[in-house]
Amino acid sequence: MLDLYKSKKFPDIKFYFYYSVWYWPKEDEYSHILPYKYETYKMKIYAMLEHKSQLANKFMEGDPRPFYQRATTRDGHYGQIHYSDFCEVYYLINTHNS
Amino acid sequence: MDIQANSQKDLNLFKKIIVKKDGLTYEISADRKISDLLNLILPLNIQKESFNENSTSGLKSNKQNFVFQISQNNDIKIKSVFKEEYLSGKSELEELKHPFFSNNSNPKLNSSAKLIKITDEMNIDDYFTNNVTKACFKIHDCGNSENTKIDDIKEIKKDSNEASIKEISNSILKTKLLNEKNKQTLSFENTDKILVFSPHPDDEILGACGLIYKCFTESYNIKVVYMTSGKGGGQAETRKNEAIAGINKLGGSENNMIFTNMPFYEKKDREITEDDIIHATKIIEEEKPTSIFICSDIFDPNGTHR
Repeated sequence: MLDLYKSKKFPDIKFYFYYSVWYWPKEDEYSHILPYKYETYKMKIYAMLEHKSQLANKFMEGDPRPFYQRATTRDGHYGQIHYSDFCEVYYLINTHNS
Repeated sequence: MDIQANSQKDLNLFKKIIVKKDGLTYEISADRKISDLLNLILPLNIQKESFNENSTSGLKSNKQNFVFQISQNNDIKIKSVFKEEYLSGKSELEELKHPFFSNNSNPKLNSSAKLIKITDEMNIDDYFTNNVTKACFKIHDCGNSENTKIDDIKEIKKDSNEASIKEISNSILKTKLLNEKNKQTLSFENTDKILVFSPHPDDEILGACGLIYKCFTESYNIKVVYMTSGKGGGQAETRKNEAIAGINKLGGSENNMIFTNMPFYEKKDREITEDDIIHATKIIEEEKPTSIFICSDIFDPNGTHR
């Protein structure tokens, strides 16, 4: 997908990164935030729990937490930084990396 | 100081940890949220190295055990190991790569904390109602203030949805304000069309669920493109159905989903070629999005995310 962005075939489209649960981006690795409240957090948990086949999977890095906890813990971390209950972070590639 | 960790064999989960120090007893109970457990342990002013073989627990399904060791300088080392590996002595403890552990400026509670008790047993509903994860974060926040007492944390926990932290150090406030200046809140127009490319079924929820839920609840035009079947991590049909169930839970439908298999995923070496670019280009040309969200993580041990 990044190759596709770099090809400049779609110059009018905004390309954003979102991050897999493996990674906690540093401050300069995200340009946009999406703060969200506890209600959305609940929905996120419920949606994650629908992926039943993945619930018992352990992380490759040796992190002992179930995958869904890693995601919500990360969102809580960024929520703390940005005055919100939780927060997802995104990176607008066009602006910062063109 | 003694540290005891009792695992409840039937559940194979951490049930309770008792820390005795200076004549005081710290009782920490938790469910499988080991990270929360460690977040609670970390702030304690631990001075003596202590390692108890009983401090292992694990998930029954994969016989995974968690071993942790607290050193004299408060470093916590942890590793999830298989029991056989641990008993054979082949496993060495590693420092957990976690921002709370690696950040030197991480606040720590002062030793005035007297008792931390969550609940004896928790299930998924408790995960919400007791809001343990959040409470743990608040402990870290509060911990930077020398005047913070554990009572503050209890109060936050009681009213966790709306409560604010009573005392936050100026340094934390300044950091937050600085960070906020440089970030924009994600927003869209009614005319926008959003495509979220998900490497596997579940990545879209893990990384961009807030975005997807926002689009559904605020009636923005959004579709999730599943780039692979995820058959490497389970049955393809099962994972597809789980993805549908997840999107349904958020208020979407199959109309908001595009299941595709990028050509690279069918190759043994998973090499990305021009065919993959053509495949993705076709989807974009058909859907005509204004914004595209792609999952990226160059450090990801799972190569498909890169």
